[in-house]
Amino acid sequence: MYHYYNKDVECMPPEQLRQLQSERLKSVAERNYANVPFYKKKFDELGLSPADITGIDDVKKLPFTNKTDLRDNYPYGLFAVPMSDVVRIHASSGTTGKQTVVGYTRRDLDIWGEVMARTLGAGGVTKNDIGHISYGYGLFTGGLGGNIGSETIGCATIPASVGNTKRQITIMQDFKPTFILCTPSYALTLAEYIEDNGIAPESLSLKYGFFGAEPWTDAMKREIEAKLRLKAFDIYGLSEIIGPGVAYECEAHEGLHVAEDHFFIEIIDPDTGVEVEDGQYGEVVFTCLTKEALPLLRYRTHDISKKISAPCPCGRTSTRITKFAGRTDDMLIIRGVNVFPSQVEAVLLELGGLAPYYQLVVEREGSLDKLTVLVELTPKTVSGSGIKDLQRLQRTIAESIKSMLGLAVKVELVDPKAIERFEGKAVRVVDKRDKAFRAR
Amino acid sequence: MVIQQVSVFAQNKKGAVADILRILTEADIQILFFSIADTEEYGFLHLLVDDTIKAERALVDNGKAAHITDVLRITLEHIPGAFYKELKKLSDAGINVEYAYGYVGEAGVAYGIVNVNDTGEAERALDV
Repeated sequence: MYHYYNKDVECMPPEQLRQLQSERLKSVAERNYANVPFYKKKFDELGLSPADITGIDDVKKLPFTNKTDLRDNYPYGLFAVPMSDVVRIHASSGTTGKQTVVGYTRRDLDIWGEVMARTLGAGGVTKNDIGHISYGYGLFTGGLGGNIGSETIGCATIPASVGNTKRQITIMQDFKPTFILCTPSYALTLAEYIEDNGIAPESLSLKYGFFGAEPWTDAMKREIEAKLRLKAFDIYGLSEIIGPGVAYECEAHEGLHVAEDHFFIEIIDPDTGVEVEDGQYGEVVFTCLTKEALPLLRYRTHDISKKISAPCPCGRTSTRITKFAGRTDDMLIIRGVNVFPSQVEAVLLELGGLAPYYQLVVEREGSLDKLTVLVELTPKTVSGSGIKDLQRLQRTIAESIKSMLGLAVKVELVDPKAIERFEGKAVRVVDKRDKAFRAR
Repeated sequence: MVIQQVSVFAQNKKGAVADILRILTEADIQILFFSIADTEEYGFLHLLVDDTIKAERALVDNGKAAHITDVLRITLEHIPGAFYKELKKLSDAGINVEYAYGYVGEAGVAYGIVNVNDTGEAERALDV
């Protein structure tokens, strides 16, 4: 028995969905051409007229939009409506450079409410549930995104925001929310808090949790589910497209469904810009079909995923994608194989007990690339271990990485904190190859 | 009897052992005995010290992967074959010794130290 917020749309026959997407794409191409000088210029350079866009397949004719385009047109340059129609501004800090500013009209907020309601509804949330939103409220889209979805369904909604874990737990015990939204790492913090303070998980009423905004592994998911006694769902979104609600997991837990009547997805080869074959990993690109304030065309997310072509047992017809595998910015090509540091991180986290501190060292020996993975040990890792256990651990890591990447690697175990940190984050990649061999 | 030793991971690089000994010196720890088990790339130092907890804390605080392990200390007669006699009891009982070392303590008492999976089981085997 699967649950839906808007079953008619979520399970729409594929042909009808394409028809809807086609109409919406025509409209959004026209609106951008007429109202956004940036897009008008891009269209003109390509010799493209909005009239050339007659159906969803014509999406390939449209120009790509990059994060740098948002920065170059900071803050409002890509808005397609006058500021008098904008009712909300969000911004993402971005780890590099200027903030990315996004805007919403009242109708955009309705769309956001709808897709976030679908996200929560896919987990089973109904208006009888009580929502606890522990994403940050503010310029970040997490808090208000969770909030609008919860209220759209009709749930009593607790805008708890982040921090003050003790108070959050008290709220959960007293107000009895039945679902929570937060980052997976904060869910683990909450779980550890109740464990350390001898609070029975049964004293909380949580049934579902919706976690996203940062990478997490199946091992983390199992831990959160066990310790907080809830069903965990993965959610995906980015502020440039709308915020959380762009794609969401259903009760089949076999990938994420894209809210494709609003956000058209393509998966492209990051180097050539050409769509990859279904089932191949590539860069995720979204086109906003319905948004008014910032209807970006072919926005390059730099996130890596692949489409799942088999129909989902839940009956939703929209495109399904796998959990995100990494970022194109981090991609290395080693012996012709695309490698994302996050894949290695996932292996280490799955093995348990290992610190998330690792470093990939790529060298060129003769005519071959050589990949060495340095892995930091922790006192916990070596607890109860002898030299044989460490050798076994080393072999297991090497074998797991090999089966994931298809590449033989050398694993080196190193002291805690032996890996160089830059502003608190471990330096993930050291590429010692000549530039020519890093070939993209 | 069951006693505790500190085991610490050491990368096989210049100065690694000296670094560990420096940390223990600065923490005013007296080392009664130590042994090294190693491979080409790394090793474990097993240490018997006067204050196990303090030693472990000092090492962890200084970025070492250290932990406390239970080991069995067997008092031996200081004669040929004494350690063999004890280890044979373990092998007869089907107990696998992960590693072992021996040392002579103050007042000339000889000890054998063994690390096994289940110290309780090993103790029972030795008491026979």
